[in-house]
Parts: sequence; structure tokens; C-alpha cells
Amino acid sequence: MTLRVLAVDDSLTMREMLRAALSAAGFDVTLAEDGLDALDRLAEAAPDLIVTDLNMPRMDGFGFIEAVRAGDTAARVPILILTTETGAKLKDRARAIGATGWITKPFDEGSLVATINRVAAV
Amino acid sequence: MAPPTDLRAIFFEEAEELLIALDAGLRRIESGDAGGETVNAVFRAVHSIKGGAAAFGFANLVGFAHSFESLLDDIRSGERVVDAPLVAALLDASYHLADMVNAERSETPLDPAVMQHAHEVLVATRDPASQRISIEVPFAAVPMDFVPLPLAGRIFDIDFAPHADAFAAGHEPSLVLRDLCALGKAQVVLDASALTADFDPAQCRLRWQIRLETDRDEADLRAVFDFIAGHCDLAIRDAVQHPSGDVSAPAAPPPLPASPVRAETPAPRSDVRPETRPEPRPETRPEAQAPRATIRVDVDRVDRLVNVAGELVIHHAMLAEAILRSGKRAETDVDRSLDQLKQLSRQIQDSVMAIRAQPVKPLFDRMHRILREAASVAGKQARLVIEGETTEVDRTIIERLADPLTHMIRNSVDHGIEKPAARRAAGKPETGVVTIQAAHRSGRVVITLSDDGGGIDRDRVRQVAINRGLIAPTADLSPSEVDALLFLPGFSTAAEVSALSGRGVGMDVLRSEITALGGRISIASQPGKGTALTISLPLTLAVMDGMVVEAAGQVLILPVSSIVETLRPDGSAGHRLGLADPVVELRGICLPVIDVGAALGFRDMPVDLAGRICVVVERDDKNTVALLVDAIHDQRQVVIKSLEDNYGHIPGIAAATVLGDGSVALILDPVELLPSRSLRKPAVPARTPIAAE
Repeated sequence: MTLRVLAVDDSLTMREMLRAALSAAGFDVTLAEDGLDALDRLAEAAPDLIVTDLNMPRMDGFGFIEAVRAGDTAARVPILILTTETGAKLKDRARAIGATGWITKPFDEGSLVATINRVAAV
Repeated sequence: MAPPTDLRAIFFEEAEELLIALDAGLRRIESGDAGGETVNAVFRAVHSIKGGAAAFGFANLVGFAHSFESLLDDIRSGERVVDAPLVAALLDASYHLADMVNAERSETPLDPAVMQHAHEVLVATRDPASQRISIEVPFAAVPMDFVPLPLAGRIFDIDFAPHADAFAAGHEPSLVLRDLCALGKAQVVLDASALTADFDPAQCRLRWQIRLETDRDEADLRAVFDFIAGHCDLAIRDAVQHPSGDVSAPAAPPPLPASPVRAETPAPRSDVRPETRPEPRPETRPEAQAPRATIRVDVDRVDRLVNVAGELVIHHAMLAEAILRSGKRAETDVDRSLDQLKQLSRQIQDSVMAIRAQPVKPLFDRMHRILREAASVAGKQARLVIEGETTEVDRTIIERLADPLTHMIRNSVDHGIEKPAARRAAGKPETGVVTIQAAHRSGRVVITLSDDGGGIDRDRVRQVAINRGLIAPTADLSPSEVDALLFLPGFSTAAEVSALSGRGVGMDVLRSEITALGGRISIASQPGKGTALTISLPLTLAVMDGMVVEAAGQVLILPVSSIVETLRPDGSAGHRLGLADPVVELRGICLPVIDVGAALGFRDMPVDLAGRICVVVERDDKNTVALLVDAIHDQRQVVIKSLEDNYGHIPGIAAATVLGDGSVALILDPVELLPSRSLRKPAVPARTPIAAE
């Protein structure tokens, strides 16, 4: 079954890179440009896994993860954070609100896909 | 991973937008709005540029953006108070960031010394004490930092072991288990291994392992055990840390929890938790950020559409002509269909042009930097005021306006705005104001750039023109004619004016830039009060409403936007004033008459006004003239085909178009159309209409 991935990033460049990388890996990709946009698309995308940026307008990655975990649609879907941030405090916070993993930008296409497959297989 | 080139294009396109957002945000901060959302937006812009740049391996850019971001982060976190020097440093940093992006885009590296300096200044701004500067590249070689996080709050393994006296204390473990199961999907395994054959039913010897899949967090779980606190051993763990934990078949009595948590420990209060849980509430979305329903389309595709729509207009005209010739036009069905087709073609044309129309705001916003830099070089103080920035113009025009506007801004700062001391002496605020304004006026877009500087020094201009041999020393020129001398080729290239004009660009160059866009430029000045340059441009370079006229046997097009009215002069209306140029009297005003046929050299003057038609056109300088034509045929939309690429600029001719019968007609430029005798002195504009006695 094709893995459905919801990728959230406010940067068009990043979104297009993610689309290219994830589509090439055979995933069914839905893109969203910030947390609120992602929430809007959540039901339709029905993702098996979510990749999200942290710094975004309107609703940032933390807000988005909290909202997803508090909702019904994808409360149990693994969420990978993809960000340029590296701070330990931020990682702790992410862990506490239910993020599944943390990937630092810039990402390596192969590793990203491998990580997604690994996380999705759990 | 080397990202493909189309992603590169997307990155640079996005970076440009981010730089605009950055600039706008910094200027909001400059004007005193250092609010959280503004600073956040600025931070995000830099952050996104950094993120994208990292993906493409633009190490210098990443390093600089990182330092920039750190400084912004200090502001965001309130560690740094925003003051004027800081804003100036942020603006400078944003300009350098823009330069770095452009350098990467054009693949022309910046001078490393310049980059080093900019970076040092930035780092020193953040930490004035810092002497050591290293252009660090924080992300150059970070491949993949994957930290697997447990599914905290998702799946818990819970060991629940009531003490032997639990029953005696009035506790019923099954109720606790029921509450726990209500929190999510639970697998409960009873461990009865402590039961012996002679157990005491009053003592609790049972324990449970529960794997709970829940959206609650650990505190919620602990809250369930609040009441049995003190009478049980409790351990709650994240299930992921025990991937081998097969809860359906615990091998042995479960190992003691690594860090047993005595339930006496007061559990976090459960009653306040739900309050703090964030809920996605659509109504809390900032209205200002309503989602945009937009798509990105390649410009080439739009341009193709514009061209095809233009062809459609031409072919509609051809069809109409063919039907007319066949004599079928009289049939009402044909006529009505043709009319509808005309309406639809027109709508398609308008819709297509609307796609390409863009507000002038991004273009105007770029002028802040130009002004700032020009003022800094000239040792002056100036600020830019923008008005009418939502005015929309065809993007092809916007693109080509950047250079002329830049020249105009520099000229205003160099020549218009006085030095602070001079301004003070003149009783003006030290900071000069340059205002750039856009508006739609009669089918054209009019951009005015005005300053509150000293105005044109007309004596000096006059003297320079005489020295350059441009005018006779005895020439009697009105103030506006003196001002217009500035546009003469050769005027501002004179050495003595160069010193005065700093790095400004000659006004003649400016004028040819504007003319090349089908635009016109005029200047107005008040001594001591300031100077205003006005440029007027067509809304589009693709199509226009034209009046089809005939003069000396030639079919010509006049732009409808410039036509005020038409009249058929009777014998008494025409006058000749001394020279051969006639005037026509219109409601007590005498208008100069330009015979189009003669002005373009199709025939010799003079012709008789009687039996011909005067088309009264308004020029940008508000002068009104009457163009004499032999007949008016039609009014229709025409597609503009530029002639300049092939024939250069011909005064009086704006472009050409293709008519319905396939023939080519010239489109006139009424402003440049001059009486045949005046062609040799184009710099001096025609005088205002003379009021009749």
C-alpha cells in the first residue's frame, strides 16, 4: 500500500524539494504551507506519517503537533520534525508534545526516505 | 543531494518574496512596530532563506543568515531592545542578504572582503564585545540528525500493583482499571502469580500490566490513580522504549519498574489539564492572514495567452470585415452573434490582462533601499513615502520601470533634497521627504515622484544650456520650458553639471527609458518647495482602444484614452495666426491644429479645415491640441505591435497594429505628434492654449 505522507513547510522551496524526494520514493504526498493549512488538509490527506517544519506563520510546528495529537483524525500518526533548529530544549519540547522524530535540515533525500520507512513500519 | 535546477528557480523566486517581506517587516519595526508578529515574520523570512540556502549548499549565505537570525532571535526573545542604530544595522544586513542571494542567483560571487565585513558588522551588532569573527557554516556538513523520539503520550506501559491492604482501605482496583480503559484503547493483563492456594481474600495479591494507547499524556494517566495513592505501586513508561514488551504474554512477574513511582507522590492535578490542551479553533485564525486561493503559473504561459487573445481580437475584426463584404451583415442573427463574439473577445482580453496585472507595491518597496543608499552617499537625510501602491500595472511594464524609478530616486536625492544644514536654514525639517505615488488616470497609469527639496535652479539650468549651445542666450523661455531643458540630450552630460549631479543619470536617458515603454515624462518645479517628475504609462503594452481615422489616404489609429472630443469645424472656427499653423476655436478657447497628414509627411500644408474633422486630444502636460484628420472610420480594440525593435523610435508613431483586412496601420502618439514646422525643436513643449479675446 502506498504510504501517504503529509509534508508541512512554509517555504515553497522546501515543499517542492519534499515533493520531489517523497514522490520519487513512491509516497503519496500532500503538501501544506503552515500548521493551519495542514490541519485543514488533514482529513483529506489521511496521512500515515507527517513531516513538519517548526518555524511557520499562523500556526507553528509545535502548535500543529499539539493540535493533531488532541484531535481525532491523526492522533496516532507518527510525526517527524524537519527543521534547521538544533536546540536541545526544542527537541525536549517536541518529544513532550508527541513528536516522533527530529531531522535537521538540510536533509539527505535517501536518509529522509529511509527514516520515514523505518518510522512508518513501527 | 543536488537539487534540480527548477527547484533552484523556485528558491530564488521565493527568496525574492521573502526579501520583500523582510524589508517590509524591518520598515514596520523602523516605524515603531516591534510587536511579536512583526518580529516573527522578519525572523521567519531570514530563517526560510537560510533553510533553502542550506539545501543548495550556499555556505556563505547560510552563515550570514544564521548570524542575522541570531540577532533577530535576541529581539524576539526580548533580550535586545530595538533602537535606531539596531534598525539601521538590520536594514543593512537585509540589503547584504539580498546581495548575497543575487550573487548566488547570478553565480557571480561577491567580494569576500565585503562579505567578511558585513558579517563582522552583524556579529558585532549582536555582541559589541566580540572581536573574534568566524564565518561559521553551521549546517554545511550536517547530514542527518535523526533522534528517534518515543511516542510520548501515545502508548504507555503501566504496571499497577495495589498493596495488600488496598481492599481494606476501601479501594476497588477494578474501578481504577475501568477509568484507565476509558482513556484509550487498553490491553490489560492480569498477573495472578502472587496468589497462593491459601490466599486471604481480604488482601490484594493481584497486579496488572496495562498497555494503553491514548491521546492523553502521562499526567492524565496518573490522575486516574489519585484515589488509590498510597495504596499501590505504580509505574508508567513509554511503550516504545520497550519494543520487545509483548503485553499479551508477560514471561514472568514483571520486573520491578526501573524507577518505581510511589503513588503517594502527589500526581499532577488532572482537573486543569483539559484547559491547557490546544484545540484547533478556526475562529482564532488571524483574519489578516486569510488563506490565499492562488496558483503559480509560468509567466511564459500567461504571455502565450496574452498573444493568443490578441490574435483573437484581430481575427474577430477580420471575420467582421469578411462578413461585411459578403453582404450578410444585415442578417440580424449574424450581426448579433458577431456582436457577442466581440464582447467575449473583449472579456477574454481583459481577463488575460488582469492575470498579468500586478500591484506596483513590490517595485515601490524596492525604492526604500535605493533612497537610503543614495542619501547615505550624498550625506543627506531622506525618507520615502509611498502612495497608491495597490495600483495595478501590467507586469511587463513593472519590470521595466525599476531602472527609471531608481534613476528618479537618485536624482531626487542628489539634486532635490538639500543637505540637513541647508534645510534647517530654509526652515524645513532636516529629513527630506521623497514621495512616490501611483494612480490610474484615463486609461493610463501615472507615477509621480516628488521631493520637498530646493526645486530646480532655473538660472543655472539656463546658463548651462546656453554654455552648451542648446539655446540661444536671448531665448525667451517660460519656467516650464526651462525645466524641460533638463531632458535635452547632452544637457546633463556636461562636465560642470556632473559635479552637481553626483551619480545621477542624465534626464535624457531617463526620458528615453520612459519613452521606450510608450510612456511620457514631465517635470514641474517650485523654487524652494520641491520638484515633481510625472511619468504616464499605458496600462499594458499589449492592447488598447483605438480610433481608426484617415489622413491623406492613410489609415491611422489614435489612442482613445487621449481623445477629449471630436468636432467638425465650420468655416468660421478656423483661424490662422501669423504663421501657417492654424488654430481652431472651441468654446472660446483657441487650440493649435496639427494636420496629421502633414505632420507625418503624407502631404504638404496647408489644407483647409472645412470638411475635415478635428480630434481634440489632451497631452500629459495638460495642453490640448486638435489633430486634423480627413475621416473617422471606427473605434475598436487594437493589438499593439511594437515597431521599435525594427525601426527604432519614430516621433509621433507609438506602434503599429494589424487591421481586420490584414493591412498594417500605424498607431499615433498624439503627444509627440508635432506640427510639421516644429519638428526641429522638440524639447520645448507647446504652449498652453491661448485664451481667445
